Amino acid sequence: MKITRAVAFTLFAVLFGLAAGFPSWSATTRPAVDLDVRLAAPYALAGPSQTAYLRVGLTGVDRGRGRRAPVNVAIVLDRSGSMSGEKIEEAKRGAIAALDRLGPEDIVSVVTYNNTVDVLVPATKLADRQSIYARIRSIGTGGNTALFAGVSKGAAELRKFLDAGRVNTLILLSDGLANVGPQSPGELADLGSSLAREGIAVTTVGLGLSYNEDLMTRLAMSSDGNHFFVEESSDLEYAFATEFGDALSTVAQGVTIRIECPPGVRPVRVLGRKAQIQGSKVFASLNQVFRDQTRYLLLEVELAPGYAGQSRRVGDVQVQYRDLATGRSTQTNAHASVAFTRDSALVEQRTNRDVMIDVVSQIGRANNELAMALRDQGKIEESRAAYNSNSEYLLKNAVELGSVQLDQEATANVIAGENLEGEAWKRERKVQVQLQMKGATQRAPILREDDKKKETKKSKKDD
Amino acid sequence: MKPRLIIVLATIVVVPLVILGWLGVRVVRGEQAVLESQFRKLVAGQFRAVELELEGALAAVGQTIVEETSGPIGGPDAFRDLLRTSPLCDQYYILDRDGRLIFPPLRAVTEQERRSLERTRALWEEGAVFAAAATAEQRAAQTDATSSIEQRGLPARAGAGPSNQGWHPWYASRGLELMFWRRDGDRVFAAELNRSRLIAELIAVLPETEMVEPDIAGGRIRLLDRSGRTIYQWGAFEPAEDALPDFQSNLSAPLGAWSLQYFAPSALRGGEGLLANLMLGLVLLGLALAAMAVWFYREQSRAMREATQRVSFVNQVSHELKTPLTNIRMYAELLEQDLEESERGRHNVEVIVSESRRLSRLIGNVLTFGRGQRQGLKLHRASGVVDEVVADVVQGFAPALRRAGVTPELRLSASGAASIDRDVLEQIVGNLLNNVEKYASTGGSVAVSTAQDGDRVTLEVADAGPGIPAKDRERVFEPFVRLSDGLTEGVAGTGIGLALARDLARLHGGDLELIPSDAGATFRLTLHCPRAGDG
Repeated sequence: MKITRAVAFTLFAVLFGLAAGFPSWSATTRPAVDLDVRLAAPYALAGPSQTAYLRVGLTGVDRGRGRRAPVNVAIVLDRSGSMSGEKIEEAKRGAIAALDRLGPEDIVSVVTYNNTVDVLVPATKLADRQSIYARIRSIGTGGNTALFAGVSKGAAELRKFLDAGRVNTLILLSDGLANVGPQSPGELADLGSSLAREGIAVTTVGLGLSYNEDLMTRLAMSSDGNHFFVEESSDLEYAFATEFGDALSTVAQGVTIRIECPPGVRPVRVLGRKAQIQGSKVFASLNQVFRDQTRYLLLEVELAPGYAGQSRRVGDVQVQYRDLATGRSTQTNAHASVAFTRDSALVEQRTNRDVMIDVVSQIGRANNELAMALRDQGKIEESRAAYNSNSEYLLKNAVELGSVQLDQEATANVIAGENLEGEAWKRERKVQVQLQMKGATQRAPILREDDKKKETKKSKKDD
Repeated sequence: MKPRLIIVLATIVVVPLVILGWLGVRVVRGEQAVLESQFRKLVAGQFRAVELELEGALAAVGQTIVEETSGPIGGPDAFRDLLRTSPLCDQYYILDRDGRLIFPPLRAVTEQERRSLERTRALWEEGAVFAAAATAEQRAAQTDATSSIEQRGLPARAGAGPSNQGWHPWYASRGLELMFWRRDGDRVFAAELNRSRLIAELIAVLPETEMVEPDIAGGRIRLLDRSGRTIYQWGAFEPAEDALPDFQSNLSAPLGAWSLQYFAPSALRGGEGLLANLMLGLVLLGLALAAMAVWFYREQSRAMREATQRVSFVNQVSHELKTPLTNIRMYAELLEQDLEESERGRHNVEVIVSESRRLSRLIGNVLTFGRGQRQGLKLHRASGVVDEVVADVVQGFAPALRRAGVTPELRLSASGAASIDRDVLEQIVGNLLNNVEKYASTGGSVAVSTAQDGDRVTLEVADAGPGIPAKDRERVFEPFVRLSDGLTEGVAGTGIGLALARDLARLHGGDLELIPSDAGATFRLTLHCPRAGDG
């Protein structure tokens, strides 16, 4: 009797599982990530050794809006004295509005910090919304900024439900300088890269003009999270919404990219991204890929001399990621080849414009960082010269390649050169750091709040 | 006399206070010491709990690293693949039996490995980690504090000896860093920890601070690095910016460079409350003692005053007795000479009789007072007529009054027979008339009236003298009180007359009062005199 019931139950469960699983099978016949590997110049001039750029693009595939992976999100809020008033109220509103978009299967934790840390809402399924919202609304302000401890506790909450099928995100909000506990950008970056290896991305939201943008961006960048510079607290809700939008549209996590260069191709460096080069192999990782969004990696290689008519494989790319729809580890491969020719017109003609734009953009970003370093050393005139020459470089390429993006980046450099002094620089630096960060995360550009600001600034300038 | 009394009293107050205060302070000190030691134990317990948490977290980290790397180690690339996914470690190192690095392979290091080697070069040059590992077996015998995980309760891998793994602390620019090492056959494997991650792991196991319902009883605990910077802190109590910790203790190895500090809210430490209580007690006791001293001082002064009054009384009485006696002697001598001349003789005899009566009265008063003081007075009632007694007394006083220039007016209407103590009535009326003679002779007249209403007999003696101020209306009835000092004013008196009269009146079921009047003084005597024959 007992046995028959157990058997029936098992049968039922299996059938039910099949029924439930079947549609997802058909839905996942397409891979979650579309891998695209191409060279800036598929044709190269025969002759001496030369530099080439390889671009590995990863695009999240929209496989129907019906399903999304559940998220595991920790909101870590600064409640130091400087957050009092409108700022904390907007932060609470933003957090609650963002949580409103989540469902009962999603996991939420809320951590607040000032001198000490309070795990206000330990990691829990979002079943009882109202009590969580009530706790968020009860947050008061006062004291200092134990940012590191806040992130540590937030990460510990995420770790309670760290599994392959969830999008793990920590959202950190701060408006001030971390002044309790470890507080150097390097230390936070180390923490970020450690969290990234567990599949946790830290998105940082810097509010106002007093936070340490280096700390916030390096923490975000090292964990492959996002960074927002929110000047007015009224824009917080937008930042939260955007970040939650990203988290909810994640299709793949734990992405590792491995490029193997065959003989005759030597990897030199990866532009603007932390990567490891071991002999002929290159390793890099991304924390996540979002639906309908392309993320890319640019590898500079040195091609050994080739003769006309020779075709050579430049890189075998292997990408491994966790498909959030299935929770399974998936692998895709692709490669790119270069053909040597004596026809320079052909080389010119077949140059890959999109890849060249990315290459120029990354070089421009590196120049931008150098210009900022000069300004940080107090060399204002040298810094201005560096911004201007970078702007000229970007503009020249923008014209040649017909790129709006490069034109915008050129303009951003001009604006930076104009705001190198006093309070204006304090704000401008935050804008620039955010732009650098966005360039470094190598996401395809999407219009964000700062872009709008840039647009309005540009039009003002035109006036 | 008086300063000495004050000094004695002050001593009586101060000495017990000082002794009690000293004892109290000793008790409080002792109590504070007990509290302090209990508090120390409490904090030491908390610190121990924190250390256990940290040790547990370290052990867990070590265990994770062991599991991470427990598989068969392939070539360098496989090892690098392993490291790329390790959230805990920045770099792995492997040494051979002779302490030579075999990973990272020095011939072909990556950029990151080159930086790691540079950072940790001092370690390899000193050979510290590997010296530690190499001598681990010998050290296992001693219980050295140098960080054997085994001591911290991490279960060793099956079959592994007690000192097959451990921590090696070292210092870089950022402060304390940890290296985890483990023996693997004849090789030594070491992992350089991601410092930030290590700190985050430790923070994760340490307590948080409840924002909504803060733990009131708690203090603030801080974990500090070697240079005294806070790594993490918890507890709702917020010490002042420059507050010094109440307790401080270094962590044990391998986190020996770090310390714990405890800041206690003052309420938690106690002791201050005890001292305040003691102070309050002493102040109350002091007040009580001072009140007692004041009371004692006042009693003492009153006794002194009474004694002085008594001495003065005896003097007065002697003085009083002398005058009538002299008169009696003088007139008696005159009588001897003048007995033939009848008119003058009669007058002289009158004076002798009058003065004798006065003397009898005085002596009577003194005797009555003395009796009253010793055993109380007794009433001897007999049937009589009040008016007759009063008339007799006035008659007897006539010569004295005449000499003082006072004319008595009698309005007597208590002629019914009543039960009275004749002696008592005579004594009262005599004392009243005596006062008139002495103090109110300036008025020139005295009205004596009686009335009888059933059992109640009323007698009023109204003079036309200077009168008695309202504030002294009751005081005149106190013994030995004389409103005007008789000796200085030339008026003699003992000061017991009115007091005695009132006592006698009350004994007779009535009272003697001074009643308000337009001029002079009017005394009203009421007596309880049942009609003779009624009872």
